[in-house]
Amino acid sequence: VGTVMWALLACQEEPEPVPLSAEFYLEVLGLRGSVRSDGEVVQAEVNVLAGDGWVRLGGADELTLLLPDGEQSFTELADHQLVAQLPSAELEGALVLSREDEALEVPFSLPTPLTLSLEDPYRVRWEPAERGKISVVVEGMCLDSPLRRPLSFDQGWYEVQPADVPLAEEACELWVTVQRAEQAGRLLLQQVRTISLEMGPVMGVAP
Amino acid sequence: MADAEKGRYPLPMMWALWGCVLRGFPSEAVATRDLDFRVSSLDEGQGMRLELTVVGPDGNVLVRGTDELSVLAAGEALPLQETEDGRYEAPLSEFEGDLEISMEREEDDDVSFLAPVVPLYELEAEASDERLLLTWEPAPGEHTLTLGLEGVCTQPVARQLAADTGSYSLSRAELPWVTTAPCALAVTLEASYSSDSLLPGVEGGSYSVSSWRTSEVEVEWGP
Repeated sequence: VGTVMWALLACQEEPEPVPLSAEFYLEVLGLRGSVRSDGEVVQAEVNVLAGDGWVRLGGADELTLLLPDGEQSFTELADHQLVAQLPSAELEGALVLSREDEALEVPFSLPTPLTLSLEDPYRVRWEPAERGKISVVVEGMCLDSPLRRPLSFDQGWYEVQPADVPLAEEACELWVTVQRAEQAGRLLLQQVRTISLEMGPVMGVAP
Repeated sequence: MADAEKGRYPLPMMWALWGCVLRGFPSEAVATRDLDFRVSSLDEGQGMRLELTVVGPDGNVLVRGTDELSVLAAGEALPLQETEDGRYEAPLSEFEGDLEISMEREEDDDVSFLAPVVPLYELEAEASDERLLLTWEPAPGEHTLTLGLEGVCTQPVARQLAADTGSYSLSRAELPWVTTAPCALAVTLEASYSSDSLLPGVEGGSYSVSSWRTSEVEVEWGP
């Protein structure tokens, strides 16, 4: 009975409130998240951290996205994630967490943008670049699970293999997503593009 | 008078001792519905061979009395050898197709089922500046194909293929290179099959089948 009572009490316990960023010295605060461009918009998704724990932006603290042509403010989502959008032409900027007369500034520079094209007919091509780590993900209704192909260097192309696609009598539409990413501290900087191709029907023998 | 007859040792203990000494229990004492047939055909580098174990409620079952166990490959009976640990083995050479496994019993239901043996592929590798092209002759069957690649200059790579199209190519960038110098790569194509199902037409009883073998080719390639 004691165990059951204990379990019931545990269930009724209120979740601990998320502390406000203003409760901490600015020196212990940090920003974690991503700045991601899909070719049309750049989206920054950021959480404020105190040490390794999340905090809620509050008090006199403000987070802004500083761009060459101005500033962009963030919107806070339900889970205290802060989101801001800007046009894809913007490749450089800084996240600024400011408090009265002091500020924490995290500059960023997005990797080189990607432009995907299709050839050969399952080879996806792009301009290789020196900066950034390339990874490829292939998805489609005919695949049981996405194919994840990290590349050890940027060769500027990836070829989808028919043997990776189950045999079918009909063609299957695949979406090939190429990501060029860099880590800047706790910020993941990404250029992401997707192109579709039609595979098949895949010929071979079962399975 | 023997100790067992005097009741000094209870029957279950005698039964257990019998199993320990002979590494198995006589099949005549086990009902068909309690039999579990476990069939493996595998190649560990010394040629394809069959391993068959018949398991009952108390452990391995040895075929005795009027029970007859047979395995046919392309209509020919394989020479089954009973091993010391209560299994049955036979060489399979380059056999491909279905093995017909049966156990005929006078006192209970007969057992009969098919166990597929996976094909052995002839793998060819062609390395170029751009990619490593692997080719083979596709073979029908319900097996799974897994492509593997190993060498001192790269971390191992394994790809389970969704279709047997007879070819696969890997670009240089898809390999997680650990050195800048080329090295000899061992490329393998493993065919494997496994199934776990009840015996058709027999109340109770079960069987499982597994089969695997690996084709290998060496190629010099590097980052």
